[in-house]
Amino acid sequence: MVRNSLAVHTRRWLLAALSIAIATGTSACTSETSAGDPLADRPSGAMPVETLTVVSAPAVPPAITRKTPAKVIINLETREVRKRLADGVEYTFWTFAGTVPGPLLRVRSGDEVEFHLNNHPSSKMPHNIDLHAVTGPGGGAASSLTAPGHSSQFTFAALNPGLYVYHCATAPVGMHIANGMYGLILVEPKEGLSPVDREFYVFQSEFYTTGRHGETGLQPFDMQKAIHEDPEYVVFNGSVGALVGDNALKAKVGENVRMFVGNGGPNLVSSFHVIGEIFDNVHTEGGTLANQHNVQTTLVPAGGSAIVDMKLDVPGTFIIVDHSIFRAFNKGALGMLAVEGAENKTIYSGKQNDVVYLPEGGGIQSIAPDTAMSVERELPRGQLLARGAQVFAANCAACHQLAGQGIAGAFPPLAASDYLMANKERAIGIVLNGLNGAVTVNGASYNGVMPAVQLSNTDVAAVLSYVRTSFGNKATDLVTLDDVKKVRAASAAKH
Amino acid sequence: MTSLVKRCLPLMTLLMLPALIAAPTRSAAQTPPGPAAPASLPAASLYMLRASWTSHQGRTIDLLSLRGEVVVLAMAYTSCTMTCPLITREMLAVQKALPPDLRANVRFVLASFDPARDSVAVLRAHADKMALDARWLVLRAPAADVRQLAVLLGVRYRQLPNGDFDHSNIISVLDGDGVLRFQSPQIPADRPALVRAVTAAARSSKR
Amino acid sequence: MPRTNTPRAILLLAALLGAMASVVRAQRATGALYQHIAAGRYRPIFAAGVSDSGVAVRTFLLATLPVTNADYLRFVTANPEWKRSKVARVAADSSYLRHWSGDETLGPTAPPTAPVVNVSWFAASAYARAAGGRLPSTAEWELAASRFRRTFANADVLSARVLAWNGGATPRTQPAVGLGIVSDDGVGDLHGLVWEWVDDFNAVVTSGESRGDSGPDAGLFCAGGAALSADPSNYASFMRYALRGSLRGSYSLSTLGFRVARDIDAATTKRRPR
Repeated sequence: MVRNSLAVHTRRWLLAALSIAIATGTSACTSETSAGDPLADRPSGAMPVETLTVVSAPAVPPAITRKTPAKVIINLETREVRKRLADGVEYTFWTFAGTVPGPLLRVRSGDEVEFHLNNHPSSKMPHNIDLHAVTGPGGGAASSLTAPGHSSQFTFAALNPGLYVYHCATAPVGMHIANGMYGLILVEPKEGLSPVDREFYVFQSEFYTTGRHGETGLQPFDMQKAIHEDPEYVVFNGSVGALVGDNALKAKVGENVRMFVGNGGPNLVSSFHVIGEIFDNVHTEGGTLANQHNVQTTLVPAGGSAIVDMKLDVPGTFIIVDHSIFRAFNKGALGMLAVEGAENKTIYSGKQNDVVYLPEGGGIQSIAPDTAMSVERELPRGQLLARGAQVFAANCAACHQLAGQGIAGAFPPLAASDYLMANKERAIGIVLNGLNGAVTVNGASYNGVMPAVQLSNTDVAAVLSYVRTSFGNKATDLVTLDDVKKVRAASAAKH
Repeated sequence: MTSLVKRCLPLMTLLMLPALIAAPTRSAAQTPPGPAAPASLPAASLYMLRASWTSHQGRTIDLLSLRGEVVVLAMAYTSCTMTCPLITREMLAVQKALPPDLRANVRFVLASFDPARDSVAVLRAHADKMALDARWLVLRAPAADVRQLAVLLGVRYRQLPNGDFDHSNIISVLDGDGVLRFQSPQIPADRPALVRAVTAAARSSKR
Repeated sequence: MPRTNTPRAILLLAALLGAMASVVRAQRATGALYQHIAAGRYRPIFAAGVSDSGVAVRTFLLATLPVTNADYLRFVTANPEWKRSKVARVAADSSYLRHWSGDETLGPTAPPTAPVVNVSWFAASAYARAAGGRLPSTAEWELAASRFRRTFANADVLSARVLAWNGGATPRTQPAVGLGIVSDDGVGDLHGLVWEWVDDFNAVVTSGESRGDSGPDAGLFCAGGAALSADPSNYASFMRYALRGSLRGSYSLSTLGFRVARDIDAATTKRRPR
């Protein structure tokens, strides 16, 4: 009885312990993945009030250092501005704060944002704003439709951290976006982002003009092209060359650099790539997780974003592109990251060698003859050896090297070569017909392919005479025309 | 000279006629208050723009006559089967929730979009059906005055071919001077907020 | 006749003739003051509750040109409660006539022949009434503004022209009326000069969240059914629709003027406005 009840007790105890363990384990898992309540740390009284300083792309407001929520007042003006789209090309942009893209807004998860949308009196159109960071009807658009010369206000809580697009959503929405009304709002997680040395704001978008790419003058918006998703311009930061040359992004070797990347579309998805760099971390689609590492090219959806960071190891100009490559070279989707500092040859050496490339392969090939000495005659010794040196340099030195030393394991030496000197006819035959298979030269084994060298009989005699009397080879006789002709005839008879 | 002028006078008058016609002169409607309106009316008062309405009791009402009372005002029409009855119900609930000492100072006004179908008789029947007490006014006026009131309140509406109306569900609170103090934009309304707004306006009017 | 009085008489006559000429000149510059707009149907941009063929519009008269600064000055002079310094704030906001130099002075940024802007709906309505007319309805205005077959090959070309105008910057000083495109009915400057007030501008039953405008928000509006966009590619109409939806009656915009409409019956009785 006692044993039974003990067993029961033990079982119950074990069951309880197990339940507790599971519950704790589960809640631990939950707390790792859930955001918790972003408004939980709101104070009971009033929050400190700050006004957001607005800076223009590619600059970014500084990282938030406070650890508590605040009320952030944002004043954003909408204005219709005529300015440069490309050299000689002007466009009437509809903008936030006079720039394309609009400024990057930076708040912290849990902040209360008091948003003022101010529509400049010179505007022809009403405007509003949809911030993808806002949880509420239209992302704010329903509460912010503002006539020219007027101002609207609404307040929202920045709940979810992440990098979000904002854009105008007044009818016709496609046109308001196509004319440049977009930007990014960064809601930092409560713990902030990992520290980096430099942050940049790069925003891709398209423009649909009546004139072709490059056609000068004030270009109107072309609705048909927009509907057919066929832009004339695909650019970073609102114009061709906005991030090029003097306007390149600048950084230093050794720095950790972060880019807040946005894509306003209105239509195209971006294949974002920095030539010569690899993204160490990518927050795909601007989410809170650095969910991918070592990425070459990341997709940025239209109306979406990505956060990338990379450590800059070597100096140089790194080209920023949409890797749908004709957009980069023909429509303007090209920017630059100019990195200064000391070189690191281990990581990147720069060009080391620039030599003649003679293709080789699995079979014996012929090298085209030098036509200068096609006239056949017996040369006197001095001329023969001089000619031989020339032929050697032009035809043999690439593999056997200038001093005839060869390359260990690849090309056998001609210098003091027992194999060469052992048989004159065999040497002539190798020059005329090539050699395939294992040979032992000066005690070392070589198993490569030497191509037949197409030389005139005179040149064969000259180069072999030269080699056999150079590089420590001590032939007493020269190779004559007859020697060469005899071997040639014998080879021809064989085949 | 005078004889010349005398002879030319009729001609002059005739010739001046086009100039006189081209210059629009004072009109009766849509002008800020005439001598009857006190100069102390605040600039933001809706009563600055005059219009004449007829109540469900057949009386002519100038909205200015409501000065001194807090007015809870909405626009609807009797044939409406959708939100209009709900708007009225919200207003009735607000009336019931008011502190008793303030009830005598607050008016509840329904202005009709639909003068064509909402005759005085129809309005009276409607008021009876909804059990609207003496604090209530159900009003009709010509289409131009209806448009003016709607624009003043920010109420949007349009008439459909079958005679019905699409319209905003806004309930407005005007203080004793006719200044817009609060608006509830949707149905269901935020009743506590409406009651608070009416109470605050009523107490400040009393002073 | 006494000789000493003749020069004065001549002066008077000259002044009279001058006045006559200026009135006649004004009329000639505008042609007829009103144009006949024949009855038709207008398909609203949001075709809620209307039959497929749209809203019926009866024949009416529409002013040939928008109201000018000079026209409006005459109105203000005759109706001093509409002076900038006197107007009730509920009837016109603080931008009212801000491009004028003074209550009754136009100044360099308000040429007499330019369209008057910075006037509220209440002000425009009062002017129209004083002129013996009214503001046109949306249907009337849009119907008149769609009739351009003589000038533009089709509606798309017209739409592209309107979009191009919207793409340009707002001029600091408006140009004169009467220099722009003329419709088939002889009405000038319906496009390309200024936006224009309509009587029922607040018939836009939407919330400003234009992507949800496939049906009015049931909490905000008591509405009969879905509001489907009749022609999603008619951007020019969308823009006017969006603008009207953003306005309140007291607003004064630097790109918004108006013109007067009249019923056919009112015109034929030749009533003299009081």
